[in-house]
Amino acid sequence: MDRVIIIRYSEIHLKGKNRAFFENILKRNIISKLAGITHKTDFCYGRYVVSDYAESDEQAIVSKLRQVFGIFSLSIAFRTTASVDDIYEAAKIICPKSGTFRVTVNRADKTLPYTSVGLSAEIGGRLLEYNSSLEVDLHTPKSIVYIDARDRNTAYVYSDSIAGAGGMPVGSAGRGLTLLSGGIDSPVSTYMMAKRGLKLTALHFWSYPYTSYEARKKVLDLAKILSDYTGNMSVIVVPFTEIQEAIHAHAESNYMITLVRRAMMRIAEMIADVNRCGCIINGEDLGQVASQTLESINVTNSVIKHTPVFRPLIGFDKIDIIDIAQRIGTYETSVKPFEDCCTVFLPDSPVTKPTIRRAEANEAKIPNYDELIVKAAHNAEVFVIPEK
Amino acid sequence: MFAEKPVYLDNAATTKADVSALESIVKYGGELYYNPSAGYVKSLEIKKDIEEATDTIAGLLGASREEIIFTSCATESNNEAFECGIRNKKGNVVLSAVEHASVYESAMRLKSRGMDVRFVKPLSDGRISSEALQCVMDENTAFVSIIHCSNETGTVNDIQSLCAVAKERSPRCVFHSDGVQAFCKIPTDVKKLGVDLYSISAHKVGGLKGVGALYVKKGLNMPPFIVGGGQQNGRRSGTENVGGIIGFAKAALAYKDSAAAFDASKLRQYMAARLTDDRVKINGSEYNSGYILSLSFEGLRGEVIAHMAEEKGVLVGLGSACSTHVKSNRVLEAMRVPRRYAEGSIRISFSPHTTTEEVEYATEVIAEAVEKLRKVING
Repeated sequence: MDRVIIIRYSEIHLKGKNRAFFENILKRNIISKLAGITHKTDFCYGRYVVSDYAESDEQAIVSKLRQVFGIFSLSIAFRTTASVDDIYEAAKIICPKSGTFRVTVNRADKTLPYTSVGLSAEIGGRLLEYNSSLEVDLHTPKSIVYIDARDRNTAYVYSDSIAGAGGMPVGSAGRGLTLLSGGIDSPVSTYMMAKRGLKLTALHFWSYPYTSYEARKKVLDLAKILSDYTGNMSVIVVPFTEIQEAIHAHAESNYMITLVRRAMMRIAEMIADVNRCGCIINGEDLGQVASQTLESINVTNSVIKHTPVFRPLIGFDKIDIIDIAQRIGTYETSVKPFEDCCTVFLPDSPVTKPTIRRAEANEAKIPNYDELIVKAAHNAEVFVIPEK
Repeated sequence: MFAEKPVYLDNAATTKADVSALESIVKYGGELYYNPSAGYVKSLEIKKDIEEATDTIAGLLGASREEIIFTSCATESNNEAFECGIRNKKGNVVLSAVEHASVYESAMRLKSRGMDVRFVKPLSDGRISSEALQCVMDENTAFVSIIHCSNETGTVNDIQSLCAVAKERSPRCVFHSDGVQAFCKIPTDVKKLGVDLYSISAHKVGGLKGVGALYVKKGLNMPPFIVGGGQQNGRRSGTENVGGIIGFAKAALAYKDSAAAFDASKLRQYMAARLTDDRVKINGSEYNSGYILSLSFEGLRGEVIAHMAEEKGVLVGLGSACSTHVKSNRVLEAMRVPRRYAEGSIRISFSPHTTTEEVEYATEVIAEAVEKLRKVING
């Protein structure tokens, strides 16, 4: 009898002929996540089993696995032979000291010399004899002893399931470019799209000296936190000062933010193309600020030529976004007071209903606008954040 | 010229450690690492060295050995003053509105416990007038704290007069002054000033971070802030930071010598003259230590000027380093500096090692940055 961790995957089981593709990516992600911890991982149909680890590493393994997208749930189990006596020994350890309980058996190997119902009754009866404080309740038990008899040599006995991160394995949905500003929203949108299986590259626009090195470090720190979920991630930092200065000098001041965001989207698409990212992700949330009204989003989006832009937070309330940020551990870093945008460039009253025509007219006033965009994209600096 | 070695003009935040302070750390961490409270002969020698250092610090303050308590920093000294220096718990506490964050927060903590905490508004140049102090105090004032030299602007308060006024208004009050930016730069004879408590820090005068001191006037029966093994005659427990304390004394002596041969005001005036115009305000008055120049540029952002200067190898501050990341500047606000100026504030601070060439270069760099920024912002 030994202790193992059973991993169950989530939506992958809904897949058809291409299921192996998803399973292989999940396997790869699990192996990479547990790198550095001595263990053995067996990949069998429908579930994975981590075994042969030091007991002191068990919690660390569970914590790490809980950050892997594609895993539905985990259970810490005892692995025994499928003999009734061995199963009973494991059940004794798993079973609570008092209260109501039930035994649920799943018999995968139909050649085993007992039925599921028969084994439940046998183990339940023995447990009642062993501990008189226990009481059977088949309908609303306080705890359940699960027995999963796979074959003559293998049965798993466990009680609780620990929820996994859910979603799809990172990398199974392709590659995306996520805009990471340093605020509360963009790390959450990054997390959400990684959860849907995207392998991500992050993009940050940096306006030094109008913002600081601390602001850039904050973004890299956020990427480090997110790498728990996304795996290793590159952060591309684009020097944005010159463009911001040019827009400020030549465009109408109430169009400043609109034009800045259009420039950012133009650069994002160029960088997405170079890095083979099939989509752009941002943290826009409808109506949150002037630049996120329907009209603003339309004007910003209109510069995109061929890449889909995903806005996973578009229908969220701020409080819900903060909730997720706190849960995934990015909130504390996001609220550090290093601004991602210098207030000297912020107009007193930014336009809330911009038009494409006027935005383009303003851009036409900026000398060498296209060259500035290309130059900024060209001068981007790449920071590689390894998976923790 | 200054690309490799930056021009450091943020000496009010911290100073480069003096060689003697570094040597002390090596000596008392290596060769003489013994606990000064132990009974070995070596420990007794170390104890004697600490006593000598105490005498030096006391001498620089015009105090005597038993009036000095070494702490971990001036923030601890200020906290101790507020936590332990108030005898009449039913009395009120008076402090200026331009204190360092450690004094301000200590007072706010007392306020949250229900104490009557009152603030003295400064004059527009940042000084505290005797009249204003008198108005805020009454005969029940138990504790007064007025900063000697402002960490934001370098403005020097006439502590001697303020202390006399305070003692006249409430004879039993305890008078504390934060002397961190004054120590070794301007006269700080505590007996002449008349104060009961006076806080100082090592790393502002060439010592190392992690050492401060509190002068406690003889006769002021003050309970210890930190209790434990009874070190420093029971007044501040915790094994002494031997190397730090001895280094503090040596560095302070060296700093005082260098300061005597140094004309900070001349450098300050040079920069002020070249960097000010009708859109720039000098915060503070002519009553200045000379070591700090606080400038506010209308409509600009202080941090942007600082970043631009840093790109050219010039390091300046943005007001108190302890509150750099706080959005508004409490001290400048109290001095009624308009917000459009306050946001564009930088703090330039000198040390006796600052050279004329460095100041000339920094002046040029800051002037260029300001000009460029004005062009960008105003078009």
